[in-house]
Amino acid sequence: MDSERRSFLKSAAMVAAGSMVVGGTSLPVVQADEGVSDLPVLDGLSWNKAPCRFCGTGCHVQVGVENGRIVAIAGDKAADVNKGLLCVKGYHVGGILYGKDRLTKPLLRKEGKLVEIKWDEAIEIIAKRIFDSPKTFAFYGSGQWTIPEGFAAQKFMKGGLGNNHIDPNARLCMSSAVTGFLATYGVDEPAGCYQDLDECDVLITWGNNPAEMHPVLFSRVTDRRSRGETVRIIDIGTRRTRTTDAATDYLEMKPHGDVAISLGIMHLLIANDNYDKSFVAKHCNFRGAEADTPTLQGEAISEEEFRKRIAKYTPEHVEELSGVPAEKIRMLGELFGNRDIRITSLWCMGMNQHTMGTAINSLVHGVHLLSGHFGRPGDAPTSLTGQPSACGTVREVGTLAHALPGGRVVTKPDHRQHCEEFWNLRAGSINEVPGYHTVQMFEHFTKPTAEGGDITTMLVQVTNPGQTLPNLNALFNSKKGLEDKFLIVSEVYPTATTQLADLILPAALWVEKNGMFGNSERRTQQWFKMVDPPGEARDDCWMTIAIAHKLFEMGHEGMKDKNGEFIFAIKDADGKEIPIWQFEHYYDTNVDKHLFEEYRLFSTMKHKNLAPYDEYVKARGLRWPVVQQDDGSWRETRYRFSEFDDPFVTKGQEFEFYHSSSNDGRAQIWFHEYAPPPEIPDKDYPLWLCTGRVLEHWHTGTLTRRLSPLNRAMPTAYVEMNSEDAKAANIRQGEKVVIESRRGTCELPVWIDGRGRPPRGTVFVPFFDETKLINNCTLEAHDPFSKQPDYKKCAVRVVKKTEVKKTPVKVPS
Amino acid sequence: MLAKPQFPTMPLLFTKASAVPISGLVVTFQSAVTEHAEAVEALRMIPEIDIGESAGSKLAIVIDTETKRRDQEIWNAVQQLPGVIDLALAMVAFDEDDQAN
Repeated sequence: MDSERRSFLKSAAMVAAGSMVVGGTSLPVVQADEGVSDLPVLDGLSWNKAPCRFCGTGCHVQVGVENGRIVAIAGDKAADVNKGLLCVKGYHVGGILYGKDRLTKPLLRKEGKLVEIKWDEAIEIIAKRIFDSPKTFAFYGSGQWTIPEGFAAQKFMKGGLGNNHIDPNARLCMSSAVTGFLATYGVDEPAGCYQDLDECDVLITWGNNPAEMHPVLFSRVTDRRSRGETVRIIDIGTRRTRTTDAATDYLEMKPHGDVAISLGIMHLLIANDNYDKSFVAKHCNFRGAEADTPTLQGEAISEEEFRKRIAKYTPEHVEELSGVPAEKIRMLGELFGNRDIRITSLWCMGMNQHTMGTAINSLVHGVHLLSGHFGRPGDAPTSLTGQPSACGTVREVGTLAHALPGGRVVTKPDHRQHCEEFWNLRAGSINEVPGYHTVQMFEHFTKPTAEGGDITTMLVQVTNPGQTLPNLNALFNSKKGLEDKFLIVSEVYPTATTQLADLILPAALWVEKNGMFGNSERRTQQWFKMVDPPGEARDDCWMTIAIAHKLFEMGHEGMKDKNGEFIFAIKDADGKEIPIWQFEHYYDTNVDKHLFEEYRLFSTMKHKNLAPYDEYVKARGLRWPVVQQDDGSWRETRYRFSEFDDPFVTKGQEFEFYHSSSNDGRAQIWFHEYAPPPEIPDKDYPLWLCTGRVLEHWHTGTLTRRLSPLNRAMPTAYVEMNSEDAKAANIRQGEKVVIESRRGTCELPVWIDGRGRPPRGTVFVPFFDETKLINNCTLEAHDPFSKQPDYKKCAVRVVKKTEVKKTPVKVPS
Repeated sequence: MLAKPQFPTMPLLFTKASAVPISGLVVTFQSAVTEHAEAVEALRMIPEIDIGESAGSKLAIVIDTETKRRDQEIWNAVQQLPGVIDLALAMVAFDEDDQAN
């Protein structure tokens, strides 16, 4: 970089940082459709907006591109989410495109070796396998799919093939949040938004670590404290984390303690008679699980029955179940009983990756509803998502085995009819039987066909199941006896999944393609392609359309609409079809825009109304429902179900849960009985294993481990061990040990009293390191409704490496 | 929040570094910047840091280093200063050479 340019950029960096600092006590507000004027202007350097590629926070960045490469990243001051600031991963997001080992050509495995082939051949291979056996094909997708990518996959599978074996990796991360919302409000996704973090008096983190996993969001709270505001942070968790370091109170609980704690709070609200009687009387029902076959609908119970069932969850009983002292449960009960303060509950994987995930989600919603801490800024039960579009794509487009776009489900005839009409398909095109959820899909894919393994071809896009599935030895690791199975993986870098792939497709990444994401606060965000992908890497959406068109050419009836046209046909102004299935023509039009305009038709049924595509081009995202005003402008919604902000709430109602599962405008306060975890430490496997993430790496590290500063900061996975446990087992700092469960093993170095501090009897391992697959050890037991596995608790033992194959070292309980 | 890092006591992998980013950062202190004169002085002593304006608990700085490794070291050092509770990025610019990870 020459010195003049360097000097100029230093000045620009100082202006950028300085403008964040001045302006009194709050960060500057820039209107979403304004340009950001203080970015450096150089010949050949262009700036464009995009949401960050990493987490579900949805920070916006400005991407500086010069000579076809990303050369700068700035936080986007016009973005309400992050107001110009980024975390350490966002800082490095520009570099994710430039790892040395980008996949650039399709690769077919022949006699054990990967050989380069042409795209035409790759598409033909896939189409032929699907054509020959459409029912045994499965599509495994992702919460990192863009909205158009997910929508194309949905239309292809459910509309075109009549095949519901499409499920996302988000099944593993937030499907319990979905079922919790559905069970409570009759419709998915949070009622509140990030503004709750700016307004709450108390923030309760339930088994999550936002200081590391959603740092920009967490800094909104700690920033308030630095300005002298009092915000109490109560961290409820199974181990100390960086969030605990910032917390006012730390409540250490046993696994499944969250269920007991939430029941205990509700018990106290009833026993102390300080629940919000007016709110409950006007806006809530009580619900319990059916005795015989529990469903998400449950059955109505009276308030009297609810009181009876909750009676046994006294603070003392909750202490026995959770390990949290009774006085702390009373403290929580008093807080929730005080309507003069505002309380936000925040959760993520701790409550979702849980065999009682639906139950605990429902219970925490219930705590807020029963106490009336709902529906005004700062009073909110809010689940966060880890992936950038688990909300926007998986949950809203419905890329789940049972779902259809816009909150619809395959089992309902009118929902199927809506979709067939929107897609101009023949009646009966969509299959009414839900497909396999993730664990089932891989169970069937890894079972020999002769034994009933009826998934024989799987296409994986934008995700890494070879590292993220639970119980990897059962669900992924071996191909023995599975020679007739065919795994196709679309990826940007080699991963644990591509290692077993039969066909690898090189994919475009982030700003190498157009895209749209939807973040944790219902904010749909858009970006344009800014740079070309390397080599022959191509858009995932194009791959789906190309496969569909090949099937159309082969005469597959499902690829034709009612008029006999290709289901993804896009025509130019003269009515001529644009051959978007040929990649050289894919960007002759904006395919994203066409797909999104079709998709938005689906969004109104559940009042998740979306604006036209061009509104998202102008904005740094808009929170649905987005409705058009009399003056033609589009207005987003910050608070759903609250009359003051939600345009769909009937005037005079104050609150209205207009998708109530009881069809009376009310939300459901659930009772769920406490149940212990499915696998508990015993004499053979005496420790709890919890898995999770770290600040520096995003999920399986495919992107972040290729960023040298992040990789240097956190080069390897490790096992966090309590110092007393380590001492008792004669295990030293840095020593290599083997974690063993009933399912598999994983070798790791030990870290004692490090960043996270587990209590005695617990170990923690982050899952970002592909050389240390902790999911060899985890359990595939899942929630009965959401089918989401529990990665947070199973039984293991820690064995000194020198003692492997001998009697394992027992750690005193 | 970028809380104070605690590093694993195990060898870090040091790779050959190449040319560098320039970054504009916002340092947030626990209280008004004026109450953290020592920390600000410590920042001034780092030759690669330019100090910018401050307001309330926030201070603008620019980091311009020879290597990515040094950039990361300084980031870590700033985070560990007494009274610093957050470090966030406003802008980073980097070279082509930088990007072959």
